[in-house]
Amino acid sequence: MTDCQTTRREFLRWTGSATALSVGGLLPQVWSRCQAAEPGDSINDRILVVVQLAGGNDGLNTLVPIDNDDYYKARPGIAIGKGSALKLNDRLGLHPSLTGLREFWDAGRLAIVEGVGYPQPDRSHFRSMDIWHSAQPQEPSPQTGWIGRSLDISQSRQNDRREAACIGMEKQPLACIGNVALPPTIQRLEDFRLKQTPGQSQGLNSPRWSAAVPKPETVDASDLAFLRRASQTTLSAARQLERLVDQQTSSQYPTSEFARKLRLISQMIAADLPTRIYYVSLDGFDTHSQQLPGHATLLRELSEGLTAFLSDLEEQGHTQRVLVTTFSEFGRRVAENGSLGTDHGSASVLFNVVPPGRGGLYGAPPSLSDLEDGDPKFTTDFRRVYATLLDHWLQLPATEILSGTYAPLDFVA
Amino acid sequence: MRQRMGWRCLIWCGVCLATTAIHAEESLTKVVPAGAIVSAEITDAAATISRLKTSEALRQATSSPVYRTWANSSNGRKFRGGRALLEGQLGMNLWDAAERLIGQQVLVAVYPPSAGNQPDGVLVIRFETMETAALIREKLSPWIEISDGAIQADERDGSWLVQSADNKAFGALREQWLVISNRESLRTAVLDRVSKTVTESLADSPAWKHQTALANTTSESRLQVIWDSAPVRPLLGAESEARLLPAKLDNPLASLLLGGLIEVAAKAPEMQGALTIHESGFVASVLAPVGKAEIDPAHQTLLATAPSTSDLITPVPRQLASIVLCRDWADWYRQREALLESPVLPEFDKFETGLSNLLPGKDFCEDVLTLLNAPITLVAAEQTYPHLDGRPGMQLPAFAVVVDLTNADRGADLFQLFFQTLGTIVNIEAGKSGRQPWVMHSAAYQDIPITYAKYLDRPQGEDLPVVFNFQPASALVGQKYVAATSLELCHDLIDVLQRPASGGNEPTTKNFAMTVDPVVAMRLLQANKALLAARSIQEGKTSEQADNELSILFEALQALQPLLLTTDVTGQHVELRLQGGWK
Amino acid sequence: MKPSTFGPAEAFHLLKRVQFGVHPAEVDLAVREGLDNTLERLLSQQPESAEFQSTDQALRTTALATGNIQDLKIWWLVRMLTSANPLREKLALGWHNHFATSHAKVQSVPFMLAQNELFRTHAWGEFPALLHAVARDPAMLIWLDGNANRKRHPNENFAREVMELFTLGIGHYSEHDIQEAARAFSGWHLRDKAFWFNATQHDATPKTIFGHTGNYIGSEVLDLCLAQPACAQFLAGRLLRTFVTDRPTQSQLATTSQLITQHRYHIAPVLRTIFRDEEFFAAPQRQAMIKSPLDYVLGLLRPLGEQIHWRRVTTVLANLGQDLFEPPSVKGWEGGRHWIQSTSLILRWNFATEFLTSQQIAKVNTEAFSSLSEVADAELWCLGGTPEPQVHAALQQEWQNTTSADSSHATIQRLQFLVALPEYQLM
Repeated sequence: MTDCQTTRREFLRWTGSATALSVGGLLPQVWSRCQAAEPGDSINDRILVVVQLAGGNDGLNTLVPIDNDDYYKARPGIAIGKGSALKLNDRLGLHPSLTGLREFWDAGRLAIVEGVGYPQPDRSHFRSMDIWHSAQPQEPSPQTGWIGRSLDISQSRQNDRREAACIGMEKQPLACIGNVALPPTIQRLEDFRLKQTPGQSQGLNSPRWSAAVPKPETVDASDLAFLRRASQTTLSAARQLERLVDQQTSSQYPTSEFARKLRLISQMIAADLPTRIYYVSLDGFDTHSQQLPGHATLLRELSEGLTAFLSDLEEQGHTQRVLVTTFSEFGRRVAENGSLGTDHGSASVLFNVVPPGRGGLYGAPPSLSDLEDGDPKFTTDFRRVYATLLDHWLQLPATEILSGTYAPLDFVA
Repeated sequence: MRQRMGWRCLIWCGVCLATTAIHAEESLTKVVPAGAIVSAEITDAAATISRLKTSEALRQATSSPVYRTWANSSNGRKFRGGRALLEGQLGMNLWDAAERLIGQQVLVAVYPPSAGNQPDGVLVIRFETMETAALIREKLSPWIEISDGAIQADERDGSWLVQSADNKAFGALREQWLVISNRESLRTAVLDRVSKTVTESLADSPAWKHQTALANTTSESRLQVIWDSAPVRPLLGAESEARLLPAKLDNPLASLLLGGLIEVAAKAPEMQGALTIHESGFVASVLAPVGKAEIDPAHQTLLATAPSTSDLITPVPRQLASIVLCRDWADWYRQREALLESPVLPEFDKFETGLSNLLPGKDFCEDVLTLLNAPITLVAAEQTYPHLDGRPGMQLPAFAVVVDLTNADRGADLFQLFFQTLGTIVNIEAGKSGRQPWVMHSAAYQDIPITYAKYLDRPQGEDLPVVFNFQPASALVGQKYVAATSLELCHDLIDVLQRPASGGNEPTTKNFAMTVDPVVAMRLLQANKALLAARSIQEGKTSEQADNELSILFEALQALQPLLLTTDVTGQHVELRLQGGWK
Repeated sequence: MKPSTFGPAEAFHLLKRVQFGVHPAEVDLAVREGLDNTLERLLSQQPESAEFQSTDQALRTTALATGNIQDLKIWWLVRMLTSANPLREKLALGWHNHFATSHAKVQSVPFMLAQNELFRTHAWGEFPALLHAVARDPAMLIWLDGNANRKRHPNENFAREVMELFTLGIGHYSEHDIQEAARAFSGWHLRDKAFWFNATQHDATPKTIFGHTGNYIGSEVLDLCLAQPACAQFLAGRLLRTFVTDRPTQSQLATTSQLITQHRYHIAPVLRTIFRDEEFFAAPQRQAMIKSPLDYVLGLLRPLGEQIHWRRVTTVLANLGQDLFEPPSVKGWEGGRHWIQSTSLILRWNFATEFLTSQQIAKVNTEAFSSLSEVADAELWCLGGTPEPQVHAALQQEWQNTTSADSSHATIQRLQFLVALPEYQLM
C-alpha cells in the first residue's frame, strides 16, 4: 500500500493529475486498489457536484420552521405540519419527501445553510439566475460565471487541468462559462463512447498506437506534448468507462431523469476522468399553484437521486472526495397565494452534502415577522457559500474569482 | 404418351361443353359454395395487364436509377434469374403468361374452418381457352413424375386431380377451369358446380345478391371483394353479440372523421369492396348495406348529409384541395361520452376552460356549435400574391373555412370576434419577434363587406419571409361565413358562393367529399423547387441530381387526374368511394 | 525574405492555413504555380463555377425562406468547402470570430446573412471600412443593444466591446473613455431594418476620449480608436492567431503591427507579406496551431468526402464547440488548446471513425490519397512532416500490418491510424 501511495504521489508531482489517468489505463488493477486504499488524499482530486433547482425552490416548505406560528399563519393551505415534517431539532424539520437527506443529517453529512441571498433581490427568474451564476450582482449583463472563472484560473496553472462538465444540458449555463473556459455538455454516456469497429485493430485500437504516442517529457509544454497527454488521458478514461458501462452497481438508482444524470456523473467519476466539477439541473420548482403534490415529487426526486448517487460513490470509495451543493435562483414568498401555491421570493435555504463530520446548520435563520416586500431578509450572502467551496474545497482563490472577499462558512475544513 | 393423347381428345370434347356450361360473363361465385366469409373476384385483368405491359410508366420505372440499382443487387439478380428460369419452363414471356393464366376470371374464397384452426380456402381460375389448362397439365406432369410420391395425380370424372401426399393441397384441372383448395371437400364442391350437378352457390347467398344489385359492373378490369360477417358470428360462440370493432374511439379527430364509418362497418352484416380499372382511371368503393336509421343516435351525428347541392361549393380558381365535412356538430359534441373513451373526455373540459377566456359567459356547445349547419368546407388554393411586390421564399397554399350558419347575424358576430381576437394575438407575437404587424381593414367586394389584415408596408422581394403567405380575411355571404388565410381566396370564395348553384337545390347524400388536384400540387411544388432542391443538396446530392429527381416527380404529378374521395349516406346504404385517373 | 524553397511541404503548410482542408491536387497546383502566383490567386477574386452558383443560390434562398439558422449554417459550410475563393471564406470566419455576433439574440436570418456578407465583402479589404460598416450593421445593433443607447440613458455595451474586443484590447483605454464613447454612439439605432441616426436621442455635448475633446459622433470614435497605436497591435494578434500561430511572440506582434500601420489597415498586402516571408514557413510556425473543429471536420471532408450529409456535419460542429452564427459570447471562440477537452477529443475521433467507415456522413473517396502507401507521404499529409524516430517506426510497422489487396481498404485503415494520432490535431 505504501508503494502504491508513493507511486501515485510521485506521479502526480511529476505530471499533474490529468496524466495520472494514463497510468490508470496501463495498470488498471493496481490503480483501483490504490484508489480504494487512500481516497481523497489530494486536493486536486476533490469533486464538486452543483445541483441547480431551477424555478425557485420554496425553502420554507423544504426546511420547515416547525415551531414558528408566523409560518403556519401565512400558509393555512400548504404548510407542512409539525407532525409530518422530518424533525431535525426543536426548531426545524425537513419536508417529508426528504428522507434521504434526513439520513445524511443523521450521518453528519448534511450542511444546511439558512437565509442565503443577496442584497436588493431580483424576482425575475432570468435575472436572479444570472446573479447566482455570475456571482456579480452589479453586472447588468454578465458574461462569465463563477465556475467558468474558476476553471480559467485552474487551467492557467502549470499541471492543473481540472475540467468541468454540464450533465444533461443543451447548452452551458452561464455559471460554467469563463473568459476562456467552456466546459462540454454531456447528454448521454454515448457521447463518451468510442466508436470502434469491434474485433478490428484500427486507429486507436491498433497495437501500434501507443508506440506512436510516446509519453511526453514532463517539462515539455509544447502543443504536441499537450495533445499527447490529452489523448492518452482521454483514451484510458474512455476505456475505463467502456468497462463500467455494462457493470451494474449494487446501488439502485430510481428511474427519474435526474437520477439518470447522477448515475452518469458517478460513471464518469469511476472512470477517473479529469472532470472535477459537475453541473446538473433539476427543473420545475416554479410552484405557483397547487404546490403540495408537485413540490413533494420534486423533492423526492432530489432526495432519492442523491441517496442512490452518494451510496454508489461510497461503495466506490469516493466519499471523502465528493461534495454536493444545491442552489435555487430564489426562495418563495412567505405567504401562500390564492391558488395554493407560492410566488417568487428571495432568501432561501441551500443544502450541501459533505464528507462526514461537518454536517449541521450554517448561516442564520431569517425572521418570518420582519419581512421585506413579503420576503424574509437574507442573512447570509450566497458568495460566502461559493467562497467556502472555492477556497476550502477546491482550493482556488475565491477573492479573485468573486471579485471580493467573503467569509467562508465552516462546512468544509 | 397414351394418357396425353386421351387428354387431348377430351379437350376437344370439352370445348363445346364448357361454352354451354357457364357463360363467360357470369360471376365465378356461381361455382363456389355459399358460406364464404370473404370472396375476391378479379374479372378481365387481361386488359389491364396488356396495357401495363406496354405502358410508358413501366418503361420509365424500369429505366429509373432506383430500379437499375435494385436490379443489380443480389436480390435483383436472383429475381431476374428466377424469372428467366420460369419463362424458359413456360415457353413464354411472364407478362403473356399472366395474361393467359389470370387474365380472364379469378376468384378466391375463404370459409370458416371445417377442421382445425386453418380457414378453408379455394382458388378458382377460368382460362379463356381450354388449351391453357392443357398446357399447364403438360408442364406439370413431368414434375409430378419425379416428385417421388409427394404429389399424386389421378384422372376422374373428366377432371385431372392432383393432391399432395400430406393432404394439405388439392388441385384440379377440368376443361378451362383450375381449382386449388386446402380441403378435398371444397375442391369437390367446386367441381360439382362447374359440371352443374349442384346449382346452389355463393351467388345465391343474400349478401352476394344484395351487393351485386348495388355494384357498378361496367368496367374493363374489376376486383370485387365481398365480406359477409354472417358465417363469422357463430364462431364467436357465446359472444355472438360481441362487436368486431370498437364503439368508442380514443381520439376526437379520428372519431369525427372515421367514427361513423367504423360504426357502420361494425353493424354491417356484409360488405363489398370493388376496384374497377378502366382505360384512364380507377374507382375503388366500399359499400355497406346499412341505413342511417339502423345506427344509434350518437353515431348518427357523424352521418349527417349536406342538405342541398348548393352546399357543395364549386371549385375556386387554382384550387389545390377541398374537403366538405357534414356532421351534426352540436349533437356530436353533446353525445361525446357515447363516442369517445373516457380518458380523453377531460381534454374537452380543458379546451372549454381555455375557450372561456375568449368567450366569457358563453357555452361552446350551446352558443357556438348550435350556430353551425352540417357542412363545413375547407379549401386550399394556390396563391398569386397580389398584395406583395414579389413572392415569399416559401410559397404555401391559402386555406379557407366556410361554415353554414343557422343564424347569420348572431353567428357572424361571434366568429368575427374569434377572427379579430386571433388577429390581435398574432400582432402581439409579431411585435415580440420583430415581424411586421398588420392592421384590420374593411372593404367591400361584390357588395359584400370583408374584414382583412393588411401589412403596414407593401413588402418587396423574391425571398420574403414565410409570414407573407398570410393575409387573413373574413366575410359573411348570405348564410355562409368565410374565413381565409388570404384576401385573394376570400374574394374567390365570394365569387363562387354568389353564383347560383348549378344543380339547383337538390337534397344530397354527401356526408364527406375531398378532392385533390395533382396538377396544382405540382405547380406549388414547382414554385418551391429551390427549397426542395436545397433539401436534397443538404443531404449530399448535387444541384443537378436534385433537379433531375424533382423533374421526375413533377412529370408524374402532371400526368394524374384529380383525386376524389367521398362518403354517401342514404336510407339503405353507406358507400365510401375513391376515384382517380391519369392522362 | 522569401522562402528558399516552395515544395509540397511548404504548399501544404500554406494551404492548411488559408483554407479549410487541403486536397492533394491543390498542393500540386500550388507547387506548379509557385508561391507568388498562388498568393495572387488566393488574394484576388476568382470566378465561381456554375454548379457552385446554383447550389449557393438554392441554399441561400432556402435559409431566407425558412428563416431557420440551421439552413444558413449549411449554406456557409458549403461555401467554405467548395468556393473558388477559400481564403475569403476563412477571413469571413475570422471576422465573424472578431465581431462575434450570435443569432441566439439577433433572431434574424436575413440580418445574420447580411452581416456575414459584410465580412466576406471586406474580407481582405481595409479594416477601417469593415469596422465602420459593422458599427452600423443591423445584427450588431441588436446584438450590442444599439436601440437602448439613448441620450439620457447611455448604454455602454457597444462602446465597451469596440475598444475591448474590436480595436484595442484590455489595458488600452479607461472606463472614462468607454462612458464618453457610449455617449457618442447614443442615437445609433435600428429602424425599418436599417441603421438610423436618431438625432433626438444623440448626446451632442462634447466628449473627451483618449485625451481628445470634441463633439464626437460614433464614427469619429471609431477613427480615434483606429488612430491608437494599440489598434494595429491588437489586429496583428487577431491575424496571427487566425493564420500563423496560436501563441504569437512579441516580435511577431511587433512586426505584423508595423505592417498593418504601413499598409494603413489594408489586409490583403499584410497577408501577402506574411505568407511570402520565410518566417511563416520556419519550423516554429509549422504545426503551431490546434485545428479548430471546422479545420478538423472540413479537413477530412475536402479531400475525401462526396455527397455530404450536411445536417450531420452541423450537429457535429455544434457538439465540438464551433456552432457557426452562434458563438458562445461576444468574445468569440477562444481557440487553441481550448478546443481540446476529453469529450471533444472523443467526439473528434468518433467523427473520423464514423466518416471513414460508415458512409453515413458522406461517401468516402480515397482516390486522392493513393500516395498514402508511402509512409513519408502519409507523414507529410497528416502529421505535417517527419515525426520523431519512435513515431516514424511505429508508422512503418502499422503500414506493414495494413498491406491489403484492396488498396482503398488499406488506405482507409491507414487514415484511421493517422487521424487518431495527436499530431493530426495540429496544423
